[in-house]
Amino acid sequence: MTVRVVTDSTADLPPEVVQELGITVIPMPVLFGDEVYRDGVDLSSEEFFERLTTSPVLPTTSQPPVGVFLETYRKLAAETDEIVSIHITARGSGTCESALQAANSLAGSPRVEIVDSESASMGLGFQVIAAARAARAGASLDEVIAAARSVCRRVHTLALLETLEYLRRGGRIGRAQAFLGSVLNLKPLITIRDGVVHPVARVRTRARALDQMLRYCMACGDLEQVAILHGTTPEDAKMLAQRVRERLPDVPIYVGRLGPALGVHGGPGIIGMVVVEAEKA
Amino acid sequence: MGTSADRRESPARSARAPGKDGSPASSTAASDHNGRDLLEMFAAATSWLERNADAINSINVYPVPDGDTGTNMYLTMRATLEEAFHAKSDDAGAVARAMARGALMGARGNSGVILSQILSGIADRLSEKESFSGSDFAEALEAASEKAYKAVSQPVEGTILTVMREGAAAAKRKARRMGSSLKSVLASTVEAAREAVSKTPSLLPVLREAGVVDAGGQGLYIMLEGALRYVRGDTGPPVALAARDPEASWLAATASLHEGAEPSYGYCTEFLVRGENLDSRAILGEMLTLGDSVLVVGDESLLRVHVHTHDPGTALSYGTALGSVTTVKVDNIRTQAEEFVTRPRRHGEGPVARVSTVAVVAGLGLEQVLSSIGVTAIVRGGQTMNPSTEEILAAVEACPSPEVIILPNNKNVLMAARQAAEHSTKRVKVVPTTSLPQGVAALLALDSEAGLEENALAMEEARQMVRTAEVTRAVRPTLLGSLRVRRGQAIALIDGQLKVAEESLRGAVCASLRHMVRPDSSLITLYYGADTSREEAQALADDLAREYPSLEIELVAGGQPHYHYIVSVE
Repeated sequence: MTVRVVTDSTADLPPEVVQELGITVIPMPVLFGDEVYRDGVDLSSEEFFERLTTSPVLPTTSQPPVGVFLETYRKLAAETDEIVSIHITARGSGTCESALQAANSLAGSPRVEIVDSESASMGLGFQVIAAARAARAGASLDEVIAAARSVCRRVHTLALLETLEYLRRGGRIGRAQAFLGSVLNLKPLITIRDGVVHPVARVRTRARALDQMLRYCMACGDLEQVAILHGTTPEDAKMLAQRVRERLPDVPIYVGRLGPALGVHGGPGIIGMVVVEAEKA
Repeated sequence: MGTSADRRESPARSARAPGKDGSPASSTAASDHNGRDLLEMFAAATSWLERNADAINSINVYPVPDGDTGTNMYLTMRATLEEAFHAKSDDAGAVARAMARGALMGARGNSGVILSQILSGIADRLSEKESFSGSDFAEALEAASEKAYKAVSQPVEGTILTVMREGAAAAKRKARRMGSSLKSVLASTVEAAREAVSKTPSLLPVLREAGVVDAGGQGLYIMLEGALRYVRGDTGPPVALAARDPEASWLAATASLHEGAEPSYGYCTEFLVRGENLDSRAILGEMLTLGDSVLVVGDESLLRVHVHTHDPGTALSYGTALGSVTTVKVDNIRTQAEEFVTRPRRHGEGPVARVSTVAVVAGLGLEQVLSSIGVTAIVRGGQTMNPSTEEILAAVEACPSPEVIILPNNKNVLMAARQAAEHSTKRVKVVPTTSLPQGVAALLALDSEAGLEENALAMEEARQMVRTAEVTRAVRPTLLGSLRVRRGQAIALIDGQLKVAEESLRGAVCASLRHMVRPDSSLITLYYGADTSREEAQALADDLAREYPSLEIELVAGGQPHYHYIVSVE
């Protein structure tokens, strides 16, 4: 019986991949005031970013209710005894916590192992893909988890923000707090390390910041996979992808859109790059 | 030999009778000058320098309002004398060494640093001597000249170095030939120095074009002349103060005014007034209506004033109505208490960088810019960007990290910064930024997790990517290359070179940009100074946005003195 892989919508997985690998995605609730939307179900990324700039009230995110996890795991129990549930960093969200509560109440049937990706967006997504591929290939529960953890160790994230305001107001600014309060109009580059946002650099123009992003990622060693995600700037994403392709013609590059859950905290103009280092022989 | 008080009060050395004309002993006996003589000679030199400081400032090659060689040399000498007075010694070697120490720490500006090397050379030669002769002094001057040349990485003729060298050479020639009275040695030195100064335009084309002699050389010549006047006994009208230790007593008097238990508010205001028939009582009365902690010292031609007031402007206006006001110092008393180091706002749990940074800045807005980027410590450059070695060193030592990078942000601070780096107990490097925008770029390149070498390299690369223009009004006419500048014209120094002269400040900014903007440029930053209104600056920024639609324009309130605009292009 194949292990089934579950994740949440912050993984920003391309729908085709979800379909192909039989991944189950639990939508994150996105709240505009008292209106609750399910990310990817009731609200698309495009719709979200449009609303973000016009909404008088700042949207927030919340972890999926424990009940949703329970329901999901119970439904999958029809097909498998073993589930690996990989989620957004536990230090930025209560999602892993909710998942764990649900798993515990199932008392081993099915067996559910929760994995904290310590990351977000495709940083989480790449771990999920590795796990799902291993599961597809018939790996055991432990092997599936190991596959995810292996990618976790090799993944690097970098995001360029137009402003730190959204991160700050959403309370996820972490160590990037050091970048607040600049007199100059500086574009922050941040990363997620050990599950928390860390500052990387501040650059004076967006153009230079994009150059810097490219350089940082290229400096990560031999790359196995690359993902570029944008919120409201598809042209920038396309341009970055092009430049990566020129340097790394054989590496698969995925270009996609950041989901609302991360859009809430990054704000419009956010652009992210996630790379997975190749395994060392 | 009596108590130290006796030594201080009696003008004549007790071991020798004064000369018939009342001048200090001028016998031809060898080794007849001691530490006290050395100190008084240099005190006289410093007094003479102070009187002429403005004149020296005004011949700065670039006709910019913060040309301050005279002030820098004077302040360096003031620090020199303070240390020497503290030595309280008759031993020439001890006094010379104390002077060298004081100069080293108090050195301001490149000219100040070279002066400190001159004093160091003198100290080297006189170190073992309790008393010295004319020929000893000639040798000391020679040592001073050698040390001065060594201090400069690329010595240029037609500067203070030439004046020092030729003065020392003349001193040695005199000492060999005609016996070794200090007076005759000094006279030859001064003669040769004067010649050398007048020759400087023929050695340095930029001086000839500007129609001036070299300011540093002039300063040195004036000091030597002051020393000679003392040795000859032409003391002239006393400068400023009645006490024997003019600086020490002024400092003591004003220091006690700052030691009150009540926290003071307002501005600590000091200035010199030169005029005729100055009435110190009247001035005292006037100052007392403006504030407290008043001190007025001097005579009817020169008065030194100190007052704590909320209205420094009125105090200064009163002074300018009476005569010519110089050596103005206005400090916010609250922040003065923090000395020279300003700690930036800590933004909560930011990571503490492995390498600390110290930046020299003039301008409140510019301070805020650097603080907000996370500089560890700021050294205030003051009106003319001339912090002393000591001020920079204090900031370095106060940094939390054992590795520190100094950003001088001005060509004239570079040597003092290097001195500070050399004398620090920490591992320190100087990234030779010559403008504030270079400093910003360097600071943004700081990697909080990398070490000293890596960061110094990254910062050096970053600073070279910025081009800077500093825009101000010419304080006198000049000719540079084919550029003819009239007094009052708006001029721009582009990366330190005077390239632009226009009628208006806007015109100068636009012309500078034409020099600096390249096809790959992406950002223009306009830092407007204390003399520029926000409206004016905004209007200019709007125009620039229209003229350069593909570039970002950033407007920043810099608050810098003298330079109406500092413009950077990256």
